[in-house]
Order: sequence, then C-alpha cells, then structure tokens
Amino acid sequence: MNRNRVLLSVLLFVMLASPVSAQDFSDRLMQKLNDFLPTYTPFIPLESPDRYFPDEVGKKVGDAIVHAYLQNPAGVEQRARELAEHDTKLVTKGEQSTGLTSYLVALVTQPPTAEVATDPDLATLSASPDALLQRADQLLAEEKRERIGRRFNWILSTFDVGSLLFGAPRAPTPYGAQGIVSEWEGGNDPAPRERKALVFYREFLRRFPDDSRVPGITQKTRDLDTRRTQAMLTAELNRAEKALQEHDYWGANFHYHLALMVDESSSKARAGLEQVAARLQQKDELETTTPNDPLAEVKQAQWEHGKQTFQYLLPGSGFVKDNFVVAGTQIATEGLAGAATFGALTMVQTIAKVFRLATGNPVPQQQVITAGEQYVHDTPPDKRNPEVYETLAEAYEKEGRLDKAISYYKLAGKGDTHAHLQEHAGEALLKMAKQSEHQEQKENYLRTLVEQYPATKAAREAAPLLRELHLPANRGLRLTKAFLREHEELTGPRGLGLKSELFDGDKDNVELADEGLTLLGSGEVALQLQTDHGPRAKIYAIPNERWEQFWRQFREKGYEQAAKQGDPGLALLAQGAEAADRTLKSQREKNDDSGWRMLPYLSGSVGGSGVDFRGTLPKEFAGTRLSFGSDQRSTYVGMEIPVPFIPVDFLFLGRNGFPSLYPRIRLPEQNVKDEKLYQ
Amino acid sequence: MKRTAVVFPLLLCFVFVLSGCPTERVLRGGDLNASPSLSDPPAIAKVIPGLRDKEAQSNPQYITEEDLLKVVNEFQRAATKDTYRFPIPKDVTGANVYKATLTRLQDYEAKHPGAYSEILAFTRGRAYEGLREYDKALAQYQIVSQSKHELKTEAAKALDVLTRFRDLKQKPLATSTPLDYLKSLDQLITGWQDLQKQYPNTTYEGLAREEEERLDQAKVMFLLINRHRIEDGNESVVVAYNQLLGKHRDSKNYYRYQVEFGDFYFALAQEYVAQNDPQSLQFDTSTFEAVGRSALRLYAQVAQEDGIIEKLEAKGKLEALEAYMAKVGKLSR
Repeated sequence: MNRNRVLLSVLLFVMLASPVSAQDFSDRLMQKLNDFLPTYTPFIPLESPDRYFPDEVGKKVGDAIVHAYLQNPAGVEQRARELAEHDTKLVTKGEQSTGLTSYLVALVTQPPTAEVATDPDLATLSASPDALLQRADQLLAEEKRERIGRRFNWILSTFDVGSLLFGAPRAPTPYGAQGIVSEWEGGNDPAPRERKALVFYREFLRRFPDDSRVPGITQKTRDLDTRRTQAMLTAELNRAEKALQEHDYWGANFHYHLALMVDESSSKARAGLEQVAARLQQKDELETTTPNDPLAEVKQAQWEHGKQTFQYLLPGSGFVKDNFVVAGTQIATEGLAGAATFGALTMVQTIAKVFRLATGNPVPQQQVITAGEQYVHDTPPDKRNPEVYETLAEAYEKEGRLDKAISYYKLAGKGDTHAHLQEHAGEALLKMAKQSEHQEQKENYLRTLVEQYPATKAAREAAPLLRELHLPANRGLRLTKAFLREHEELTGPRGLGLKSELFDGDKDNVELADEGLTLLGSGEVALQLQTDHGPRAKIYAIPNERWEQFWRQFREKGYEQAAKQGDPGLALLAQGAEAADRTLKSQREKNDDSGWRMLPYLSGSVGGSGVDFRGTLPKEFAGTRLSFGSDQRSTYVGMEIPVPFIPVDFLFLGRNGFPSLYPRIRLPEQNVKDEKLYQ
Repeated sequence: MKRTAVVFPLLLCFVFVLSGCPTERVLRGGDLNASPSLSDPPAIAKVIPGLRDKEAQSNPQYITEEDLLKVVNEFQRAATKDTYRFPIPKDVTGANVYKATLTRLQDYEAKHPGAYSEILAFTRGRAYEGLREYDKALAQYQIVSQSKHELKTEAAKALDVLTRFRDLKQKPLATSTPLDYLKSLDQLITGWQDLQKQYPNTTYEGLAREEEERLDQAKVMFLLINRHRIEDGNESVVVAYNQLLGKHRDSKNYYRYQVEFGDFYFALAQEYVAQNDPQSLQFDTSTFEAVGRSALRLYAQVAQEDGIIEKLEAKGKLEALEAYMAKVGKLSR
C-alpha cells in the first residue's frame, strides 16, 4: 500500500512539474538559475605542441630547401635521390616511407598547377616559347575542329547509320537544317579562340624575336590580325549605319570615328562622317518645321516590340532561306507528303512558341521601357499622357521587375491591379531569402519584404524567420554536426578541443544536435545541444589560444580543399574574403539539399505530332546526353555513347523495329575562359 | 547507292577531324614548362629510383617537414615571376602568394615551434621583399645572416641590396615648391634606374623598376591633383601621362594608365562644359570634340585590345563617353 502511494506521488510530481528547459526567462537571474548543464564544459584541457627534433630525414629536407633557394637543382636532385633510397629501405623493412620525396622533386620541377588553376592565361603568357606556341596552336585547332565539326554534324545527323547496318537504309532527314544555312555563311570573323591565339602569338614575337620560328608565326599573326581588324571595322561601321538609320546622328558620328581608329584609310567611315554632317544640318531644318508627338517614341517602341514578337513566332533564324532549303529537300525526297510533314512540324514549333509567349517573356521589353522612361524624364508630370504609366507598368511586370511595375500601376490609378503583384513580389523576396546562403543577405531580403509588402502572406511567414535570425546564437559561422564529423581536426585537440562525447550519439553524456555549432564574432561558440525538447543553444567563451588554433586548422583545411578539390570556399572564409555568416554543411547534406538538381536538365516540346525531350546527365554520371520522345517514325529513347580513341560520339536511338544510330563529331567541350575579353 | 551516300560524308568528316586533333573527351592543356632537363618530372622519376607518386600517404612522423615543404613549394613557384610585367602570382586559393605565405609561415611556427627557424626567416624575407616591405625583409635576413646556417651568405647579399633599396625609398622629398618636389622625384627615379643597372637579370632589377614606375605614377598624380594651381597644369599632366606610357609599355599597369589618361580627358571635357554652357555662344564645339576625341582614342585603344581585363572597363567608359558627347552635342546646336 505504502509502495503504491509512493509511486502515485512520484507520478503526480512528474505530471505536474513543468519542463524547466522549455520555459523562456526574460530575467537574467532566472535564466541563470534555470540554465541547463550549468557546470558542464565542452572543452578538453589544452595540449602543448610537440617539440621538434630533427633527424637525418629532416636534415636532408632542410638541405634540399637551401639548394632550391640557392638555385642549385643538382643539389636538390641529390637530396631527393638520397631520400628515395631511404624510402626504399624503409619499405623493404616493412615500414612506412617518409612520403616526402615527391615534395622535394617538386622544389625543382615546380609543376604549374597552382597558377594554371587560378589563371592559366597568365601562366601561359609567362611560359616558355614552346608552351606559348603549343597553346596558341591548340586554340586554333580547337576552333577549326568546332567550325568543321558543327557543320558536319548537321550532315551526319541526317544519316541513320543504324538502319544502314541493319540492312534497311532510310532516306536522309532534313529537319536538322533549320538555322544551319544562316550559320554556314557566318563570315570570316575570328572567333574568341582565334583572337586568344593571336594574343599568344604576339607575345611569342615580342618575347622571343630571335627564335627560328618567327617568320612563320609573323605570317600567321598577320593573317589573324587582318581578319580581326576587318571584323572590328565592320562591327563599328554596322553600328554607325544602324545609328544613322535610327536618326541617332551623334551615335553614328561616334562609331564612324571609332571605325577610323581601327582603320584610318576606311573610305566608308569617312563618307559616313560626311553623311552625318549633312544629315545634322537637314535635321535642324526638320526640327524647326515639324513639331513631334512626344509619345511617338513610346508607340514606335511598342510597334517594334510587336514586330519582334511576330518574328520570334516564325520558325528558323534566317526564316526564309532556312525553311526554303528544308522544305525544298523535304519535297524533293518525299514529294507532297513531305511538304505536309514540314508544315505540321512548323505548326508544332509555332504552337510551342505561342505557349512560351503566353507564359513567359521571350522577347525583352527593354526598348519599350527605355522609350517610356525617356518620355517620363523629358515631360513634366502635368503634361504627361497617363497612358504611359500603364505601358511602363505592363512592361516592367513582364520583365519581372515588380517593384517598378507596382509604382507605375499606382501612378496609373490601378490600385487593385497591384495587390496581386505585391503578393508576387513578396513571394519572390521570400524565396530569395530562403535561397541566400549568407545571413546578412537573408536579413536584407526579409527586412525589405516586411517593410515594403507588410500586408502579404509572405510577410507573415517572414516575420518569425527574421526574429530567429536575430537570436545571438544564430549570428555567425555555423558548422553542422555532419560537417564537423567530416572535418574532425577542426574540433579535435589541435582545433576547438571539444570533448569527443559530444559526437558519440549518446544523449546521456551530452550530445551535439545536428545543427552543430555557431562561431560567434566575439570569440564565443554557441553549441546546439540535444535536449528532450529539441536542440537548445548554449554559449561558451573560447580561450584565445583555442580560437587561434581553430582558425589555423581552418586555414589549413581551406588550403587543402582548394589544392585537392579546386574549391576555394573554405579558404575564402578563412581569409575574410567572404563574410563568415553562413552554414557549412557536409557533402552529404549538400547533396540532399541539391538532390533535385541532380536530375538531368530536360528541354523539349510536346506537340500534336510528337514529343521530344533532351537532357544531359550530371557530371557524376558521365555527363552523357539523353533524349526520349517520338518522331515521324516511332517513339524512341536515345543516349549519346562516347567512343574512346576517336573524336566521334554516337547517338543511339532505341525504337520499335530497327534502332537508329547517328554519329556526331565531338566538339571542344571547354569554352574560352573570359570569352568577353576576346570579342 | 544509299550505302555509299552515307559512308562518304562519314569518311570525309573523319579525314577533316582526325587530322591533328586530340581524341580525349576532356581536353587538357599541355605541360607549359616542357623542357628536357629537370623540368620534366618523368625524367626525374627515371633518375631517382623508388620515387613515388605525390599521393603517397603522408607519414605523421614527418608532418613537420611535409608542412614546410608544402609552403616552400607554393612560394618557390612564384619566386621567379616578373612582378613588373605581371601581377603578383596567386596561390591555389586565389590569394596573393606573398601574403598567403606569410600567414602560412605564422601558422606553421605556431604548430611546429622551433622548427627550421632560419629557413622560415629566409622565406619570410623573400616574401616581404616581394611586397616591397624592405624593413621587415631586412629584419628577417638579419636573423639568417647572424646564424651559422648555409643560407647565411645569401641572406648577407640580400641585406646589402635591400639596405640600399630601403635607404633610397626612405630618402626624404623636397616639399618647399612644386618644382623642387618634382625635381626630387626625378632624382629618386634616377637612383632606382642606377640600381636596376647594378642588378641586371635578377629579381631586384624588377623590384627597382616597380619602384621607378611607382614614382613616375606619383609624379602624374601630383600634377593631376595640383593642375589648377600650376601654370599650364593640364598640359603638364598630358606630358607626364605620355612619359609614363612611353616609359612603361611593358608594365602590368600600362592599360590602366591608358584608361586613367582617358578619364583625364573626359574630366577636361566635363570641365569645359561646366565653364561654357553648351547652349551659349561662347561654347566651341570643335574644342569640346577635340578633347572628347582624345578620351575616345585612349578608351578605344584599350577596348580594342584582346585578353586584358581593362577591356571591359574601357568598353563601358566608351559607352558613357558616347552618351555624354551626344547629349552635349545636341545641346550645343
């Protein structure tokens, strides 16, 4: 009976007692009294560093470095040889080698990996004459391969080798021809690769004028330079002529002068300048006689936009010539039935474009915006036509610049219209805040959202997020538990010196929650500890020595990651080049976050006559291209099969009946780095 | 017939594409330092029996040496680069290799106290030298020269050179009149030129050229800032910029100077407009256009150059100049 009474009392006590840790105390004293784990320290005692005692190996290493500094490669080589022999002996005895020989060799070989990784062009410019020419030649060869390859790929894409091998040859298909005809006559302008090669050839001529290859390279340089100058001249003349057509005489004047700078002897540029001067005089007369409609420019821009939209809906880039060739080939090979197929295909393409036009903004509104803003700028408010506000609001809305659109809808007196826009803008800001890695950025987005669109649903969601962001324990560099497990040195005795029990999964001896810890700017760390009521933050001061030790480890880690994986992320944080207010996650956590992005990116269309989807698998899965859909023959599933040793891939299409196999010349995969600098 | 039609283009494209083209799926750059001797790692591998791949597991017993070699290797890579022509090299993290080395050496010293102190001091000396911090470099070389280390003689040589560099750099400039100031700048420039001649084909020659360039640049800046106080100030700036450009054609800053020279002309055009209302009678279009065209010429020279980062800046400035000239031109008519 007594025993039952005791049990009942205990049960009642447990049920009635409120969970202390769940309470929120505003009073500091109460907080202190109810602090959880008040006497717990997460740190292990500080270890003093090991003293250094050099042995024979250490002396050899020191010697090698001295020889390297004295520019005596033979001396370094000798030490490397000795160390290699020592290693061999160790391995023979079943012991571990020193692992240092390759570092000694690198003292004289100086592999250019580091500089090549950060700035390969700079490395090439200061490289040997052979390396300079090799790189330039390689760029020219790549460009040649791409030009020829692109054109031949079209021809090849029309021939089904599979059907031929299976003894049932099919007629060539001309569908791939759209756009290629225009490209074929693309002119003789040097591509960025060729212009880059020219830079390297010039550098060669500048640095090695006595080299025996100079005459050949001079000729190559001259040829490339002539093409480059011609391309630049044509570009400036075209700009000038366009400006002239648009009655922008000052713009034309400017570009004709630029053209003269490219080629002083250009008669076209000189004639253009004379024409500009004449037109300017004529314009003066016109301006004095005919008053302009101030809104005419805006209307003209709207008309131009309409025209561009119509052009967009037409298939093929050089519509008439491309489609003339395609339709012609189709009719020649299949007769009138071919014309019908071509018509159906064109219809499918146009329907897809109409859909994109209705759901997106494929033709930019910038021209309308520029004209509208110019009108607003030039016209006093009381003389403005209110129509312009709505035009601008709609243009901005289509461009996704909702803040501007809202302000113009307000001016247009359409208050109701902008309510839904505010919701859109709020959602967009919330999405950007959630995607931001940095707390400051996140805070800026959330603050803008709460201040500018307070009545929206997104603002209601943003308010608690903003509060949470302001908690002291959340302001700093957060390292998740999984990240810390991946990089044990950071929390080990040479890092922060945290007790290993925090990571052993046993809650009874205090355990770090998955959220990990946050390094606060004030030399403190906020540990997110597991409790029965979820993670709870506890802030500890870090001794100076440990703080420095941690950042030393962090810098070393950052350096290693940059050297081995080419990822400078941690290094940028350690060097202060990036704000340390983000969350560092383990590789697995990152993969979980971006899991959906691992799916192949698909593009394609669905139409009345068939389905066509294409995509590329992520690099982790060999980056192979995939496609599925249906064409005029049957449904298919396709995969690009790279073939080793020859620069050709095969597109394999599995379908009903005989499979199709299309060869495709492999084009250079890498674009020119900093392409903008060679255009 | 159809079979032949398919095979022909295939063969044709193979002939075109296979000739001299790499067949690897991923294109890799060639070995940039390819030369037959020590620069060829496989050659060394043949010479040194038992040489293993760099991926060989690190031995905790020799972590002190391994850590040091990692720092020195990275630093050595940059040691011979001409920093007058090219910017200071970057390490794998994209940081200035001299600054990064100093931080890494500090970390190394804290991790392995007392290890290889002379080598650390010598490396620090080189890094400070590259950053033109001569006092700090001298302090480090002093440590080595006063020891019995093998680098003692080399450190003593560096001490001798850098003492002269420091003394010249610390030489006071006359500030009584602008002319005196410019004269003393010229004297210093001559001093640096003398030092270049004394240490030809060494890193010190490059360093002295950088110092000379810095003074030439200071001269331009002085004239630019004081052009309204000096008689023929604008003309003096033009002369100084032309001298700077003519003298430092090989400098890494050459295109920067051109853009800045263009900015000067642009500023002159704006000043002319501020002083002469384009809508008034005293505005002379030809004067304005002449100044504007000088800016255009300088910006265009940079914008038309390939492979330099200043190209993008110059293109943007050209556009700004175009808009400005058009606006003033319209107002002036």
